[in-house]
Amino acid sequence: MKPENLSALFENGAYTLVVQKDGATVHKDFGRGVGPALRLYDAQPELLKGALVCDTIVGKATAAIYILGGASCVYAEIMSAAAADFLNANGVDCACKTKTEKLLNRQGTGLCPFEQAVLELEKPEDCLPVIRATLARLMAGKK
Amino acid sequence: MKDFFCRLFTPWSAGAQFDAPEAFYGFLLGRDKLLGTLRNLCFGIALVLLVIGYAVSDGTSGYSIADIANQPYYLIAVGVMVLALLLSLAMIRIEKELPKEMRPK
Repeated sequence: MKPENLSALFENGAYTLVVQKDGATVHKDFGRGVGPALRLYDAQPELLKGALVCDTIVGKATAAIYILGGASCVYAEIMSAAAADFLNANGVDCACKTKTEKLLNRQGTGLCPFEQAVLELEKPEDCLPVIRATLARLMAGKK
Repeated sequence: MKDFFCRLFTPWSAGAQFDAPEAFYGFLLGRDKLLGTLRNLCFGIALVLLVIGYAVSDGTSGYSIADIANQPYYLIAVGVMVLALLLSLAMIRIEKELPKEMRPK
C-alpha cells in the first residue's frame, strides 16, 4: 500500500471515503464525521469485508466501525494515535499521511465527541452502541 | 454575540460553532423545521388577509398593482408572501448544507 497513491483516490476533495476491493473501487462517499462510515456499515457491510478503506479523517470511533466491518486495511489523511493503536491491536493494517496525538472537535476546545465517547473502550463491539448514542445525542442538539 | 447572529441569520455557515458535524446537522434540521412552520404560518396569514381584503372591498376597484397597493389588506398579504419567499430561500440554503440522506423529502 503506497500512501502517496491512495491520496489520489479522494480526487482532490470530491470524496472523503473510498473503499477498494482487489484494486477496484466499490464505494465512494462524501461527508463529514462518522456519518459516511456508519452509513456504509449499516447499508452495505459486505463492502467493508476484506477491503482497503481510505478515509480523510479516522479517529477511534471510525476505526471501530471499520474493524467491525472486517476491513483489512485502513488509510487516512489524518489518523489519531488512538485509532492507529486500536486498528493494530485488532489486526487491521493502517497507514496515514499525518498522525495526530488527539482528534479535536471543530472548535479546537477539546476532543472530538466521538473520540471522547469511545476513548476508554477496548472492544470494537462495545464502541458501536456508544457511537450511535453519541450521534443521537448530537443530532438532538444536546451537549 | 457574533456567533448568535450567525446562527440566527445565516445558520448554514455556523458549522464551526459545533463540536461535530452531526451536531451541526441536527441544528440545521431543527432550524429547517422551524422555518417551515413559520412559512406555513405566513401562508395562513396571507390567505386570511386576502379573504378579509376581498370581504371589505367595495367592489369598485380593479386588480391593477395600483389598486392592490391601495388595499391595505392586500398590501400586507403581499408583504407576508415576500417573507414566506425569503424563508423558502433560507430553507433551500440550509438543505443544501445537509447530507443528501438527511434532507427533508
